[in-house]
Amino acid sequence: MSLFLQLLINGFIAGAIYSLVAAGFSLIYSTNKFVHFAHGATVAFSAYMFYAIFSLWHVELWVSVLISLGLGALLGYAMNFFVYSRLRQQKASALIQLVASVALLILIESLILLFFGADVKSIDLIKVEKGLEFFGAIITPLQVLIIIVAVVLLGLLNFFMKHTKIGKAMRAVSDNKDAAEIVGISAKKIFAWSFVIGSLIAGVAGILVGLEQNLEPMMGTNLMIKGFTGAVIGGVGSVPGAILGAFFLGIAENFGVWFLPSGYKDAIAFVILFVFLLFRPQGILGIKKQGDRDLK
Amino acid sequence: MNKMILPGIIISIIVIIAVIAVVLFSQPVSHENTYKIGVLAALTGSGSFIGEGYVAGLTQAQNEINSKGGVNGKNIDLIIEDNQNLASVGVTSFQSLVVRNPDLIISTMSSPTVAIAHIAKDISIPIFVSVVFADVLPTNQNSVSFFPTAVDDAKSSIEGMKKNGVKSVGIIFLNTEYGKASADALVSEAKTAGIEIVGNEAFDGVANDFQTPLAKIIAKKPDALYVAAINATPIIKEAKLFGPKPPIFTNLIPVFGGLIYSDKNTFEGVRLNASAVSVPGSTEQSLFANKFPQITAAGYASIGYDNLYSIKAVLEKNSDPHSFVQAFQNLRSFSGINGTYQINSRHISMNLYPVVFENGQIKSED
Repeated sequence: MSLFLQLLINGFIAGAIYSLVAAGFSLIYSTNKFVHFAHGATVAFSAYMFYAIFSLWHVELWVSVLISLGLGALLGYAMNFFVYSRLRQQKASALIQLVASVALLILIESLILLFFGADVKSIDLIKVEKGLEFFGAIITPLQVLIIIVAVVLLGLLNFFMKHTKIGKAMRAVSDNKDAAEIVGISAKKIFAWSFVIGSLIAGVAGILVGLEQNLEPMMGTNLMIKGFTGAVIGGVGSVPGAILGAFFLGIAENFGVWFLPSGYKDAIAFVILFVFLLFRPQGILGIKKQGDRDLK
Repeated sequence: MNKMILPGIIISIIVIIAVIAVVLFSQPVSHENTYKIGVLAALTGSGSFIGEGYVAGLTQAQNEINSKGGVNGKNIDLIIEDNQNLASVGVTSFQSLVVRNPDLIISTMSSPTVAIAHIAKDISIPIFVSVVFADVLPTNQNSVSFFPTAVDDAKSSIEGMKKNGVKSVGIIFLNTEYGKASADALVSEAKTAGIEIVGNEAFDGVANDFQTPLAKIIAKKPDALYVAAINATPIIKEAKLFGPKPPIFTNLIPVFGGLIYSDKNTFEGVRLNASAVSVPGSTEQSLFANKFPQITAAGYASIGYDNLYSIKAVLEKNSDPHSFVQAFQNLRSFSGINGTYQINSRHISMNLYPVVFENGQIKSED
């Protein structure tokens, strides 16, 4: 087996999943200007909804996917409507909203734990058998699908942001909310849209992770940390940057444990994060803003 | 003056509640009619399938014993606390048991038991250790253990590997007290048997993706892959993506905990370790099936069952729980649903047998 190629493939698969989480997170951050940690809960929620609808209630696959994604988007909308919009009305700072997002993350994961239990769950869609061999490395059809879905979805997101009215409005609000409102863009609606679209993408990530790996109540937190790290590496506030950073993280993690014990995988991710925070805090594609004292 | 009334009322209520709590908890527990046995088991969390099976066995034995007049005329009262298979929760649960002054505490799962073994040294309550691979007896002299050790399990796995002509093995293990004990024991037994260890990868409890550590091990072309995890299912699934080779070996947990029956496809062809109650056609299996018709976690339920009956046997010889550890050692042997056990010092082990899971059933490798 070609270990180099296997690690590269594993890195791309991990990067694809992280990029879906990072893209949704970055979209929400760039528009709303606070760190929405509960984005991880949306990933877990969508995965568990898919598990419940497909595995427990035996609803057809594509119907299960659509319903789960819808529920994930609804969760994102509900979080914005019931929590963040009210905090915005009270002129809460970004820090307060971050604290609220952490509380939401813990609450939702606790509810998942309560209803589904702590046991590892798996969605038995694909028979357990040898994967496809590709120049000495192994990849499964599902893993190929993950990479394709991630690339297509992120491409669609890019198209959406550049060529649709709502996408352009989102970019306008992201650049300057007040100026956007002056020209008639409803920031309130754009915030809601960002949560819906970001949560939809998170839902896709959750379902893919559920199919590829397994489900456990803390899965959202772990993925959120990786997505957040990828977003920071690529440039917080830049969706393309977040995607690039996430792929970079996935590949770096997997190659990092080539000669180190695998238990260091998470440590490698955080070392990379620290390096970027210290030496390039704006990230790979982030732009240094004039007058921002935190960015060198 | 009005401003003082509300805080005063609140403070008074708090004081009253505190006094009631102190009175309730400080009342000496009457031991005249019961033996109070505290139980720390993983009822929630990653090892809940283990704890549920174990407690099912304990309560079956409790019901049988009490229905026949109890022990020395006293009923057994089990006080069960959830340790969630976590050291921090285990310590808290242990402390909440201690204040209820039990005669004995049964502690299960390696991580919480290792944590409480140090604390329990200072109290006079004997600790009965079960479902633990880590060696805690040296830490606490007022303790006994009744469960296969990591070495017993490793010996059975190595026996199975030798039967299958394995000359080299790669290990992937959970980085906890249990996983490290399991991996260390296998490394030691492998060396004794002349089997080479070609890879040794740890993963943490939150890992979901095992492809990279598996790829590293499989790249070294071992004759076998050994998995030590609480729930080996996701690891075995990913290992099988690399093909039918190397063959997969794991420990007693999937058999004891009934995981093999909840995911038969994944465990097809996997080699494991089983106790007598899981060996097809054995007398012990028939006896067990009669008592526990609904239980798939046969191993853990039978252990819980035998644990409580062994406690009964010890108390019948010496009714003073404070002398439990000495009386346990003097028992010499004990017969339970898993067969007859020999008692060596403060530990009872049990025989394990290498088996393979084929066509949805366990088959002996003998």
